[in-house]
Amino acid sequence: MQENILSVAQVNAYMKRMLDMDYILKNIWIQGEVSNCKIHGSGHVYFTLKDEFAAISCVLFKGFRKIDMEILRDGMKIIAKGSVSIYEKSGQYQLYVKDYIEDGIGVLYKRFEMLKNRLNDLGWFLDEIKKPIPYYPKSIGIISSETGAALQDMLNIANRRNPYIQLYLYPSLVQGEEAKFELVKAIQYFDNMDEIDVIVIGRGGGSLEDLWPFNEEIVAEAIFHSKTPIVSAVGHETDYTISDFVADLRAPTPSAAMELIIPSFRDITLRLEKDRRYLDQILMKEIDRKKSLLKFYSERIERFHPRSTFEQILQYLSELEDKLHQNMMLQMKDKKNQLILLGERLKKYSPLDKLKDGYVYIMDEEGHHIKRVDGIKEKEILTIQLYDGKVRVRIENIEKGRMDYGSK
Amino acid sequence: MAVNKSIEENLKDIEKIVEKMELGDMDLEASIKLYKEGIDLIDSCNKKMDRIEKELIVIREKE
Repeated sequence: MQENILSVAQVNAYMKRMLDMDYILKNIWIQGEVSNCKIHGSGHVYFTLKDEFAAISCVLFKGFRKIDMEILRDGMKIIAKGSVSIYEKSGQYQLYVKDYIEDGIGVLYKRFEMLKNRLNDLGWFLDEIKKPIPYYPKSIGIISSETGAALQDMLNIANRRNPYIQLYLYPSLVQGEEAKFELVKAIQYFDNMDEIDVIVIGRGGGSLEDLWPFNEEIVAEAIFHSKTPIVSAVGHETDYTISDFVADLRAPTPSAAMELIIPSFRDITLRLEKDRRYLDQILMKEIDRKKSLLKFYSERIERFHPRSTFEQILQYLSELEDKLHQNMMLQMKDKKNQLILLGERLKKYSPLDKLKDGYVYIMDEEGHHIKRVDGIKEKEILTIQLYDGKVRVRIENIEKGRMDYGSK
Repeated sequence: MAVNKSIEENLKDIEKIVEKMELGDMDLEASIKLYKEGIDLIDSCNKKMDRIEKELIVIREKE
């Protein structure tokens, strides 16, 4: 079995890897007293944290946190946050400080972190459970100190944006031991008021201790259980409180809260006016469009208009009339010819022609045509018409009986 | 019909109407009806913003 022989560098590197993998050492809070604090020319700060039993080297790299020599000074009790690792060159392990606070407040910080983690684990900060803030609240309940600047800021902004929204104030202490109870009462009071659409908790900036009521669990609970949406506007932009996390909306400042939840009256009326004009415009455009469409169709349909059909009919009619006329003329001509032919034929039977052939026409004295012997008296005078004249004759003898062709 | 809706819902409805009318593929009667609906909503919105300046009401329930 061969034993491994390692270089110093290898050991230190190995140790560093080991420590860097450790979950606890990655993010650790260490409480102790500062000693041997030095600012290096590079801007990094080196010091030792010690308590009555032990010490640990610490380094704060330049740029991680604003260096506050009031706190980072020998003899000060602090809580430093950072990761423990090894400086390979010397093999010395040390705390790489990322943040530090003066102890005392440090305890509060720890409480804050603990509560925050606990509530976070309970899911109280989830976006999904946040209640929507109404767009146009009719009434807003403000929880704030009656004498604070925060309230004045909020009222100014509310008034400027929309003076027609009813504001209620529940005056409450916002710092000190009693504050948390008043805050809870105020939240519950507004939550039970039907007309309140949204609650704003407002307080100006302050130290961690000043803002502490907003990190109290009973306040967080009251916010969490409120059926009315709550906006938390505590402190300045950089101050975060538990209330901010639990609330349905966090505003960086009380003024910002009002900007966020009070709809600008002017904006809305402008928008409504714009919408109205736009609707007018669209409708007009639509009507114009329909009009031109109508014109287009009416021009197209003109061709199928009965009028044009009628004109065609008229034309056809006159054509028919012409044809009829021509036909008629043709027929007339035909009849004329026929008539002439008939006349020719008729001529053959003309009495005059018969007279030409030697037949005669006999009339009595009154001009009656005599066709038979019957009725003729002897000595009666008759007129015989011949082709070229007439003769008057006296009847001498009358013989009845038909002409006998045979004997002739 | 739109009486019980909030101003925001009204505004959204107006927006929808505007969008619908922008598309323009409806008959004139429908767009006139929609237009009227939009104008009514705008009026109702205006009415809902009760234009009376409100005074701050301070709640004093302690004793």
